[in-house]
Amino acid sequence: MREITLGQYYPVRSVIHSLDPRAKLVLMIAYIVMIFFVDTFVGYGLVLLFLLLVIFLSKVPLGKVLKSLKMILFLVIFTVVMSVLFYNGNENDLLWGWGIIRIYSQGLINAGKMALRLIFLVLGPTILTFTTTPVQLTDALESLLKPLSYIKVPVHSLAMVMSIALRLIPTLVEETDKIQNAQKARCADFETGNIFKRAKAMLPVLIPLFVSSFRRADELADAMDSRCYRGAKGRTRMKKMHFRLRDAVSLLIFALFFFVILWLRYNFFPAFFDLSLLTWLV
Amino acid sequence: MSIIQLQDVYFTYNRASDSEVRAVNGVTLSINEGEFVAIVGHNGSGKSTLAKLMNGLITPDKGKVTVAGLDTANEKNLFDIRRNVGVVFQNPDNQMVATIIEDDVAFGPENIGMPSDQIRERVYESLKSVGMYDYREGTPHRLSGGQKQRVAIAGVLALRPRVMVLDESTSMLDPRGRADVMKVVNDLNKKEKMAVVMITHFMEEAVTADRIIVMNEGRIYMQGGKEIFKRQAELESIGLTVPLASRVANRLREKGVVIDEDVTTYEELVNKICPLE
Ligand SMILES: Nc1ncnc2c1ncn2[C@@H]1O[C@H](COP(=O)(O)OP(=O)(O)OP(=O)(O)O)[C@@H](O)[C@H]1O
Ligand SMILES: [Mg+2]
Repeated sequence: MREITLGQYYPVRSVIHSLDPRAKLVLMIAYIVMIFFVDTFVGYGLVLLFLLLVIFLSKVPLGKVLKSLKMILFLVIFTVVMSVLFYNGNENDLLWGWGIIRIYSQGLINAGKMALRLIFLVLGPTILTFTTTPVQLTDALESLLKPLSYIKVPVHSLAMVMSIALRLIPTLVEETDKIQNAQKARCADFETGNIFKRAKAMLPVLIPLFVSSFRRADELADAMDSRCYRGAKGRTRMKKMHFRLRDAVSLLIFALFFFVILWLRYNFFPAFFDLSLLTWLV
Repeated sequence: MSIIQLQDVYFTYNRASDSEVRAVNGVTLSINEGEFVAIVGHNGSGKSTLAKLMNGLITPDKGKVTVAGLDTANEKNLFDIRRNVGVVFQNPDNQMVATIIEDDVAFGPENIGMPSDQIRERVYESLKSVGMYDYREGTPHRLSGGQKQRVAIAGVLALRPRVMVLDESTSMLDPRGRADVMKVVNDLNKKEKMAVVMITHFMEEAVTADRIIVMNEGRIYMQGGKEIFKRQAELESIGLTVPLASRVANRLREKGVVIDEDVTTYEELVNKICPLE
């Protein structure tokens, strides 16, 4: 049987794991916003230090985190190549030229920054999913979006749908495997042929899967009804989310860090500390 | 004292259409406090329909179903009815709501709005009584069928119902898983005095019951204690297989051997035959 992991949660006890999922979700969003304000290598260096500290605190092996970058490797390479090739620079900035290919040093710098931005963008959500279970995330989302329920957005139902979907994914994957094996036993061929042929071969798998999903949904609804489910009304939770001192401290630390990043970018209070001293580094 | 009462209940699926199916056809029965009732019948005899009628998932077309005096036809009663009647279904995979075992068991108590520390207490207690406490932080996905079904039972137990209805809850399990689940259910009935309605098409599972109800084509075909196993020909005519030990005993009776007590298990058979000579 295929081993199915939901998301990529890494189950250890750490400070980062124990933070309120709502705080983590907010921090992750703020982090993504922050990345768009970083435009110097010094800035990226600071973000890197910050991330390394967080990863260290989370007790997730660095290798595992880096591995998750594999899926964007192609995107990063593609972006770098494209932006180097299509950069239109100043002729005295030209590093190397051959025919229509011209590489400028500023182009290289830009591409490098763009690559870093992509990588850092992905690392935020990655660390979040390593340290937070999908259920915690949907709970956090429900809690954070609660104000919307006053304008009649069905926040609870949406969160419930999400968490049931998460719960059903492994079951459905397993079932797909089973049906596929049953079809293979009857000489169905899923591995050869062009994409259309293969898609066509999947049809006899998808139809029974679809039918059984409806039956499943029906039975699940009965089981939920039988266990007194009636929506958000009067429902309490066993695992309450607690916003504790450590969450407040984390938010504060992050706010300070964000401030430093903004400072690097806009250089306000120049009299206080001249950042141009730093920028010669780049 | 009866908890569940069905009075001349009729139920038809897809009513007033071409694919009309009469599933329950005038059933009257009551389930008493602390009783262990087995409902047997072959495929399509209306057992699952009865189970769904018992906690108001469906309401009768004709007749009346009451739980602790509350009519299931009144939507306002459903919440209290379902606190009293817990149902465990056939497929354990289709009853789990959460990705972590203890979260799944907590689902019921969360729905009735218990405070969180009390929920935890109940969840632990329920998991202990089905022997799944050590697995509480794991995912149900990795468990065996029998273990999953025990978690499902814990999920129902956490609501502390007065009756637990098991709709063929052992039919997808291997013999070991089936034995484990049966033990849990028997313990709950004996120790906690919880009434149990065990729906099955295995006659063997019915032998421990106080009362056996045999369903056929939506009607009660026969009911009584173990003595019904003597009516082998009638049971076989509606597609049911009498336990092997009872069959042997019945055959011996035909041959003139005097066995006056009801024999349903291998041990009973041995105890009956060996002293003869
Ligand atoms: N949702 C439904 N829609 C239409 N007909 C149904 C539905 N559920 C059951 N039936 C039909 O109602 C009749 C009784 O079904 P029921 O599920 O109660 O039988 P059962 O005794 O539980 O059978 P099994 O042993 O197969 O579980 C059957 O003929 C069945 O085909
Ligand atoms: Mg059934």
